[in-house]
Amino acid sequence: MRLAINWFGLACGIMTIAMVIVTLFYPWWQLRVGDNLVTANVSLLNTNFKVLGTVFTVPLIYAVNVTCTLMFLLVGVTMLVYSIFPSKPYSKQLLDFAYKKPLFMLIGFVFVLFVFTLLVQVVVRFNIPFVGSVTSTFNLPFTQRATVSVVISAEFYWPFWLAVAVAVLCIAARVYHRRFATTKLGFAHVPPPPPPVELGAQ
Amino acid sequence: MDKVRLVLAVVTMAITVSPIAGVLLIYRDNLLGLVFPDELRNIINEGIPSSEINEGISFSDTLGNISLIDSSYDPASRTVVLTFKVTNPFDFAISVSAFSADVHCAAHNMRMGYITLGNEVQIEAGATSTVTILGRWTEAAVKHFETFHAGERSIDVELTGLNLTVNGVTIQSTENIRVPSFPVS
Repeated sequence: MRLAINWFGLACGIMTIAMVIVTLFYPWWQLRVGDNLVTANVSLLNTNFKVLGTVFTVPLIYAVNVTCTLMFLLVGVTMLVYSIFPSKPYSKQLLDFAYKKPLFMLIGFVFVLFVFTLLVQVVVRFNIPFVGSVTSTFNLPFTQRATVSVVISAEFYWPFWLAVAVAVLCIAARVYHRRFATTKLGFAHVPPPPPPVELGAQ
Repeated sequence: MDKVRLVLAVVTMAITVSPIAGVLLIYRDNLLGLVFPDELRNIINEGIPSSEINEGISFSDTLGNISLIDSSYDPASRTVVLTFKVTNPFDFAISVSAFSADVHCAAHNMRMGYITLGNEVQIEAGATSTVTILGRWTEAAVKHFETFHAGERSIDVELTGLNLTVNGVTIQSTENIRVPSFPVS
């Protein structure tokens, strides 16, 4: 008997779990001020800051990161279970639960990041790039006769694109699911075997 | 089938609420700490010079322990080479890639020349390294030394047009920075 598997879902589940592990070590987006003066490593799963050699996290952001980590793990496991049993009665519920979440979380991440960089520029009047490098110039707080110029650069790292790939695979798994929805047994349209020919019937 | 949906909804709720509730519980007596951690407060309190430091700011206050360990003067090129021993007091490495300033005699307000960084320096956290500063005096400055500071090996100077690049941050100052006992020969 041929096993019916949603291969997109399987790849999505495996990549989601791999992405969670990778993101614990590498950021999705990094902001650097000067030469290692300030570094912000940002992702939905792990965000930390390094300021003047001191590494720290913001507790509220940490809580959000834990939530997102658990959510991505749940999505990964759900997609794995679904993709191995795509024709079971409960499979549609599993897929509907999991397939949209990575995309929505990714859109939310990019939106919040974009709004944050915009807000800093508008409110604090400090030029922070969303992507690329800029030179920000400001006066020192304790004297108006000295100006400080610093190069600030920001870029997305490959784990972010891994997350994008996960979101795309989730959507692909949903599209591929139609194949199973139209065949109750989980097989592709296979024509029924021809009736046996009785020898000597003439 | 509805049970599957229910279980997923409950797990989602637990995943969403628990971490937030956890940190709220931990920081219930210090809600500001939720967004403003103690580490950041320590950096602001200890790592950045306060606004009270304005007048009379000295190199030793800003750059840690600096001591002159050697100086030499070449009369032919009117160049002085100063070697400093600098200790990095911070918890992070500092790299000085550029330093230049005009030097004025503090007593007579006369431009004497300029100083520049001899070599790029990288000093690890808490480590000590040597920094070479090159000074080149004008002919007028040499005459000024001979006339007003004969026999002195160091004089009070004021640095103007300071340009300093540390860890990728460039500071340009139009403020006069007084440096006492600056070696000139």
